[in-house]
Amino acid sequence: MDILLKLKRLIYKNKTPSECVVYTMVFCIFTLIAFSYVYVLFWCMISGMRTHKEVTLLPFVNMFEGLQPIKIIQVFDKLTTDQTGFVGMLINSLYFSITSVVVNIFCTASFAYVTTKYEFPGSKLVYSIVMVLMVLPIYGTSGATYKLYVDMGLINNPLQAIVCSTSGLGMGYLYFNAFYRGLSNTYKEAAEIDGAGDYTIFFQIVIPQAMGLITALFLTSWIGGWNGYEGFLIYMPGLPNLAAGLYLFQVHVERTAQWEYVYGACFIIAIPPLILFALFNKTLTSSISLGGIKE
Amino acid sequence: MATQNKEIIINGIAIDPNKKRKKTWKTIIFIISFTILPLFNFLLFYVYVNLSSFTLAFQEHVDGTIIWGFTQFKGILDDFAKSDGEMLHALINTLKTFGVSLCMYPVSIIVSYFLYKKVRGHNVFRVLFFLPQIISSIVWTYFYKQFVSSVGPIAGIVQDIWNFEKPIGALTNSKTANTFVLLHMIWMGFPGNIIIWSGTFARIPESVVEYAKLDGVGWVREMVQIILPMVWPTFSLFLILQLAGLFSASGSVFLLTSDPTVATGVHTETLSNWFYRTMYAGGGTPSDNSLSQMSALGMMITVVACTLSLTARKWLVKLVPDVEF
Repeated sequence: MDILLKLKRLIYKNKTPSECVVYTMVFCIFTLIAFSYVYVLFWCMISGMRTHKEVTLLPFVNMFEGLQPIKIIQVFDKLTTDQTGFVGMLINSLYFSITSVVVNIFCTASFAYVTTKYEFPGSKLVYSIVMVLMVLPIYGTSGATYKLYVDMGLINNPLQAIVCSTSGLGMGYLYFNAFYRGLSNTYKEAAEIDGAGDYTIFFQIVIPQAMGLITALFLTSWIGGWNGYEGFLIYMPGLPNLAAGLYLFQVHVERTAQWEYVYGACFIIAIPPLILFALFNKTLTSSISLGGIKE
Repeated sequence: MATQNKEIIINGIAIDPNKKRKKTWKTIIFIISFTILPLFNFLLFYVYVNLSSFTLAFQEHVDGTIIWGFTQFKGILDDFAKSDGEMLHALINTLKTFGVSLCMYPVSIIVSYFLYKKVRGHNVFRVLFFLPQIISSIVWTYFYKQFVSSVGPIAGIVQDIWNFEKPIGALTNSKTANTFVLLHMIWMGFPGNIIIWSGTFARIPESVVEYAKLDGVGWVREMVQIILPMVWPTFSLFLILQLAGLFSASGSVFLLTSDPTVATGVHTETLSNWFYRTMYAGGGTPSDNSLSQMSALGMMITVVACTLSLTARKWLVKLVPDVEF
């Protein structure tokens, strides 16, 4: 009885009986869900090493029999669309995910800085505009957007990553706005007394202090860009990234039943975001806060 | 007081007005350089696009000629009126999906709340619950399609519940497809926005929670009467965003059931997926009439969504008084 009481105190500390029940149920549910997420990656990796007959007919049975690790390597050769191989897709993924994010974060950080720290006509209006844009939805503009992209020659054009990323509005603006509002003006004033110009203050004093937020936003945006496929299928069909290429490859594979390569490719494209997340997960979870944001 | 060098002295400090003017011009150039690109982007990709979409909605393209009128709106309303119309099914599925996502909103907050309360293993869960956001939806959907297929581990359960004669793929049958699309959405949406809520809950002073504990407040009362009012601005903002996204509510319909050869297409279609399929089905070159039809439908549902969003905002912001901490 004493041991049971000690065990209970160790696990549940000072919780009431009802809290003990609730926390136990929550723990079980969380464990089940978390296990399912990990299992997906494990299953993709194992399925990538099996034959297509086993994957098609017995996808969840006898999973460890007759594994052929070489098949995972063969994905690099097999993952192709009509025009682009694995290397091409990888280059597209890296180029678009990095370029668009860097341009967007720079534009957002700089735009939020001048509208928060400087007074000029319209500077106070920007925050309200961003809130309005987020709260008031506008649907059905993808057709007009497509027409604009065609008119500007941006379809299948690598410049799309730069031209379309120069927006300074959106959720990122709110994060930077909250950060800059909390940043003391003393740094700026001290630098001005020492003769620093506006650009010097921004790049050498403000940006280093915002690096935590910038890193977190870069990581979350990069992951979104790396995994995104919808825009590529419509606006960049000739320059697919890995995610879009995997979708197009899957459509092709439905006719040839080489599903093991699809699952192997799923595992491979999940690796880079996983590695980055493993390295920077503390930055991701602690550097983004909307603070006391109010409407 | 001005000196011989035309400096102005204020409170004993000499200021050269010429120097101040140079600095002001430099600052103006600085401000312009940092605002010009976002302003251009906003004017082109938001203002121009929305105006263009507005005009597209009133166009009908016949043999290369543009006819102005309400033909597109009439066509969409006629489709809504048909009992087996694609638009009506899409609208119904969209509303079902929205209902599920609205129910998942408090669930995802509760998940973040228990992580904040340090449920056993919270550090591990916090990392693993990021996986849906880190890994492409393509990976999750391809696994899920196989998991609920006729050779998957739950085929027998599906057969028993729905009284099928033999195991079937849950996503290939019109009776089960939509249910399993929604289940996939629940599975993927369970953790919610951990990044935002972790930061929001972390701002709550520990002393407030400890005082409540000392006063004998249980976890339910703590969550509802203490925590929720303190995080109400964030809660209401994201709820309003949820309501604003009413007509964009959609599970991974395109990846799970978009195969046009599969009979369930019409039973899982949502408005959001219809927009995307219309763009994609043209082989990357949708027709002008398709673009006009999309613009017309978009305009109609925008009016409804904006009304709902503004009404919700007006009501939600005033519902709970501001709590400063």
